[in-house]
Amino acid sequence: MTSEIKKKSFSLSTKLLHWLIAGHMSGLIVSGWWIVDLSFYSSWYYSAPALHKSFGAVVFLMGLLLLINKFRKRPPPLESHTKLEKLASKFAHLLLFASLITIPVSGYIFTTFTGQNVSIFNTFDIPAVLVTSEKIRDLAIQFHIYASYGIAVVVFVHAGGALKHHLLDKDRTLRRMLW
Amino acid sequence: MNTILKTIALGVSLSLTLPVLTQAESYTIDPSHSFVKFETSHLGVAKLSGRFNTIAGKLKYNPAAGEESQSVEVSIDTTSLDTNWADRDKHLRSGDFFNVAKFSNATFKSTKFDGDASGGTLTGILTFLGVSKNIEFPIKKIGEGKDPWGGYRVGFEGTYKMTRKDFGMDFNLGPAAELVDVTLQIEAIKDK
Repeated sequence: MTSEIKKKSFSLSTKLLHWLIAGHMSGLIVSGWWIVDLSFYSSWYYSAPALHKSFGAVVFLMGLLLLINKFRKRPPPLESHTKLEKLASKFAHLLLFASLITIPVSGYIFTTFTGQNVSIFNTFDIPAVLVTSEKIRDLAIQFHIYASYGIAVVVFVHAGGALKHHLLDKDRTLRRMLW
Repeated sequence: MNTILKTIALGVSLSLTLPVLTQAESYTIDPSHSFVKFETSHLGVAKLSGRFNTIAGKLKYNPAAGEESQSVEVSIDTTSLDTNWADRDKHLRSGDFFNVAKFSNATFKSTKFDGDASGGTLTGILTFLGVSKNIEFPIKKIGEGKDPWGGYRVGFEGTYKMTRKDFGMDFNLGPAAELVDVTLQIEAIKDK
């Protein structure tokens, strides 16, 4: 690998964060969809929401770090990308970053509504310091559901775009996030 | 002169009291001192209780005028349910239980009262989750009297043992939690 190509790749921390977040997000969206239909007698009835919250806090933290990286270490877009592609990817990235912050926050809002802390992996608590009104709580619940399914669509567009660049355009879009 | 004055005074006081005697004694529920609570069993191990924070209603209470003149009408804002645990409240508000997005209100309208000034059996129609059912439950008067601020108050308490699935709430919480005690604790102030 030449140093020229290396320069245009994402930093190691960005790559790690990106793929960890990708895994967490997928897991959280699927687990959320599954959790709301768990029966009272499922052995996951308590543990699954607890894990969902814990991983949600982790993804929130990683999202913040990735956001810092985006401003500090981001290589420029590839010259081979069209204007439209650059605009579309910018827009998708904006939505993805926004969701990384707002979806965990909305979950925090309604899960701490009656003053209970959020236990993270049963080791420490995030205190309930943002107790809001019922209206905000209801809004947060709706947002948590629709934004999560909405962002799932954006994830597919984002991944589809990367695959399109990799398989059809045969450029470094995907590879520079891999190695 | 004195007789004339007495006659006028009598006439005035009669005209003031007569309408009061003939009209039904109507009261308005004081939401700050009224509670609708629900209690069920958790796995047969312990009891779990919750309440609705927002209720409203009217009642007619005049034991001297007989059973016919006792009635109550309560409206419960189901979105105000509160079991002091956010995750459970979220689940209870969902379609699995109270479905508050669709049915934000439950109402009870009494149709009959069997009893006396101290209490009795209240019969009426409970509309909950879109299902209207004729129900009856015992109710007793806790007390009545003047309050320190110029009003007149009366308070009642009654518990209806609800079978959840009668109203279509059939999420399986185990055999111990099929019955829910719904307790109406109301205080009402006499209308002026």
